[in-house]
Amino acid sequence: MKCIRCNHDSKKSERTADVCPNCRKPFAFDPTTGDAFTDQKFANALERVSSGGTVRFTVNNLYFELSRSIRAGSAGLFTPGAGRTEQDARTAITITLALNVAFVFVAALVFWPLAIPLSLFAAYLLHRRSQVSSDRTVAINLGDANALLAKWTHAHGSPKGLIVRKDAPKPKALPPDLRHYSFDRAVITDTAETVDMLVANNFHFENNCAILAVTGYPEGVFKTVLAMLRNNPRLRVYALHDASVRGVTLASELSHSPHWFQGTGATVIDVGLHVAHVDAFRGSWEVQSPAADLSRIPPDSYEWLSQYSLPLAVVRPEQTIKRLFRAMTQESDPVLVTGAETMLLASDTSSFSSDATSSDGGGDSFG
Amino acid sequence: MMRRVVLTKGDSFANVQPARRRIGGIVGAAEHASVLERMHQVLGPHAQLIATGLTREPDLRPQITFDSDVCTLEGRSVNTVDEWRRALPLLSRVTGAFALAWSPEPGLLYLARDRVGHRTLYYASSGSAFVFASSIRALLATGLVARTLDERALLKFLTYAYVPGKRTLIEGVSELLPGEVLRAQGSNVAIVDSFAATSASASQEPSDELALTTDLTRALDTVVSAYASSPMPLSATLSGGIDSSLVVALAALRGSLHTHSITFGAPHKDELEWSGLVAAHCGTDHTIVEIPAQTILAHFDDTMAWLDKPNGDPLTVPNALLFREASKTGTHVLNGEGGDPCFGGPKNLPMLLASLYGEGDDDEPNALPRSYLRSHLKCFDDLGEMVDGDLAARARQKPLEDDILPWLADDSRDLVGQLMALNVRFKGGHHILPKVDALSLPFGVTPRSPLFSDTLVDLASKLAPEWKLRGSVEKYLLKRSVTHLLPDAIINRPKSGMMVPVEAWFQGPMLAFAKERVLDGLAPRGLFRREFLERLLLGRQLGLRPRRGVKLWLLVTLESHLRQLGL
Repeated sequence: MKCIRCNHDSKKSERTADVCPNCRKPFAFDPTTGDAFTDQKFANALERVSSGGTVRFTVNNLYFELSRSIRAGSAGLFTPGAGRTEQDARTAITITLALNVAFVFVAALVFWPLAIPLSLFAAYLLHRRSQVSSDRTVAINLGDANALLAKWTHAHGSPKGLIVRKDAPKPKALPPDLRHYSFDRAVITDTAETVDMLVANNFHFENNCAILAVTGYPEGVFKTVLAMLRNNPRLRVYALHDASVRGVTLASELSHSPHWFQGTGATVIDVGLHVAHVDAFRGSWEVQSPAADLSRIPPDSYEWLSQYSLPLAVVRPEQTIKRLFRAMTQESDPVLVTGAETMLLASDTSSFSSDATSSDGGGDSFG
Repeated sequence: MMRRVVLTKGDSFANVQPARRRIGGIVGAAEHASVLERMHQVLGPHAQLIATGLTREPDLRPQITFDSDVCTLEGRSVNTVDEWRRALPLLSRVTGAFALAWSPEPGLLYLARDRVGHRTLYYASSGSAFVFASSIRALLATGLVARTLDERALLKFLTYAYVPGKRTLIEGVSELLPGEVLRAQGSNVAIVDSFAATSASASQEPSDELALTTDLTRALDTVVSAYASSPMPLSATLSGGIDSSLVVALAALRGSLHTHSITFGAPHKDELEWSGLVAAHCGTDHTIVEIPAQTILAHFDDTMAWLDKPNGDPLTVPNALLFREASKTGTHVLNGEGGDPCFGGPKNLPMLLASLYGEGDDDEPNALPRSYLRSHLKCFDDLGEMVDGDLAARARQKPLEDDILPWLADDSRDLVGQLMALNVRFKGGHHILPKVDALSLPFGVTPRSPLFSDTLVDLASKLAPEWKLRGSVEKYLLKRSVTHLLPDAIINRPKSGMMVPVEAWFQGPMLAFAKERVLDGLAPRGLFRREFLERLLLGRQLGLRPRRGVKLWLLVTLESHLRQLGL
């Protein structure tokens, strides 16, 4: 196992107490004892989720990145997460299985010693076919991811760029003259975590853009910023959300709720995740608890949303930020869907950016 | 009338002498005659020097020297030696552009600089001698000043693209701050007075919009009228933004006006549509100056040779070339600088957002100053990776945020007022005004910045913040005050800033130049990490918003200065 600090490659017999025999620094993981990661593999996941250490990320971003790493590590024949859709995989396995069974039958008649290995191969294919449906969802749970992160942190310190939410942001004493000001852009999200990610990456500052979550976050400034936004009839609101029952109705809520922007003249643009995007993230879906209210879900999304959800954290932060950049610079030609005040960019099926590459089937593009 | 000229590579202007007055002098050196002679060679034929305290021989030189423009004291012009002598007890009330030195008795010298920072003076002590001049190169020419790099000034340059404050790239050479009066006697040097425009406190009293608009309209008219008084036909630079447009509109009411706009040629974006609209509306004699990348490159070092402190604004070379063009049509060149810092321009709203949100999960007291440093969009966030490890470690011991904190902790002002004071001092007194002063020198024209006049700076500092930002509208009252002068399209157009195609330049015509300056020049100096410089040149792993062109321009600017200063 190679030490990521000194590059020394050591055998298990040379190591004591999970310490590199060369530099005497600890390893975080040891696959020979059942860990799903090596230190190098975990470091690679950190490198990807932080886009080479240039972008800050949340624990959930890392969780999905680790899940993708595990899937990529186990990717093999007909693994959907490696780029095939479930239907493609099922079809390929079924055809191969049929050919194999036919060949076993012929071989058993003509050259019977081949029958045993071919039967074993057929059994493997049957097993893989049964696995396809479980390949839709995340490979690990959040608790496992946190345990991995704790091990890494113990050996290497907290990862550079990891966003750590403060316990309870203190309400700010805001100057009274703020009521005179407003901003021309706002990103409204369905989770506080997305607000944290955007603010930590200075999106608000670089783009002159307020950022709020519908949950009332950040608590200290929420009411003030919302009041400032509601004063501006030129406001453009970007709804950024999960592919979930709550998320896909966010833009409509922002447009039509009197608590948000109904009647203010603001334009709401939907830039969040929808069911149309989920195939690119197969392997990262989360099983949905029974939803309380599916009445406002579009019929074509009902089946998927009643079973699954896909958090925005599945998308690497760099890609989410680039999508917002693009929405803000291409806003002159959005797709109008739900009325005069709401526009949807979700039907744009191009990838997040041309320089987005993924070597692990991680589906880091949506759109 | 409108015409278009394409600037080809012309004669170098690096080694010509200043074509306007510069000042300098010395207290206490034994060989003052030879020192003054060397200083004189740099400051040119219009230099006025002062020396005192060297011998008991009668000194025939005038004991007061000044470099000034549009100066008044209580309505009366201050422009002659006698007028300046009479104004000395009342310097804090003198308006206009000036740098001044006087010696009331042998061995004693005073220096003063105007309240806003239109003119600049630098000084240094060496043993028992004290030298000052309008230019750092004149100080170096005396041979009394050691050439040692000031590392903190370097870090400031990488953060701001200019060097705010007293420091210069030469350790031991200081800049007199706007509004300061310095006293030098032997080795005793002290600031004895300060009357900077930014020290006036703001009035927050609510006012009537009509009255305020009327006041501002009248003040703009009075100031531009005074600044537009010149015996020759006037010139003005015109971007088509609200600030330069209103100056042109007011100046054009007073007579013939030549206007000049810049383009970098196809396929680069420009603002000619807007500047052309204003020129036509105001009936000016308009010239579009097209500056190809090769011409920029040919005059890059020429331009840097005139800047005392490095200025990493990519508009420096175009500014210099525009002054050269303007010198063909007039002796004075008006500009619209000052509208943004005084009247609530861009960067206020992002700073408001930063004050609301803090710095992500970082809520320490330095968060807002850090946002201010970051708002310059240069290399602040790269410093840790960019500069040598020892230099970075020394920088961490005294963070750059420390210099900003007092400005943003001034409880007598709201945030918009704090930002105005900070920006008038930093962007006005240390960046824009010294830049236009220095780059106009080789061509003998005098730059004038009416929106940075004392009258308008004082008026703006008393405005409550809602008159600067209203909703998301920036420069609200300024726009309301000139609706009668300009087309609606100009008043309501979004702020864009002058776009300089540095990204494209450093992908093509300037890439080889950048490689030579950065890898062969800067890297061996040991100030920067070569790995970062290589990554920057290749455009790899630079984050979400690489701003590669801006950073490369900064670095080639720095290298040019280090070479020319002999560092």
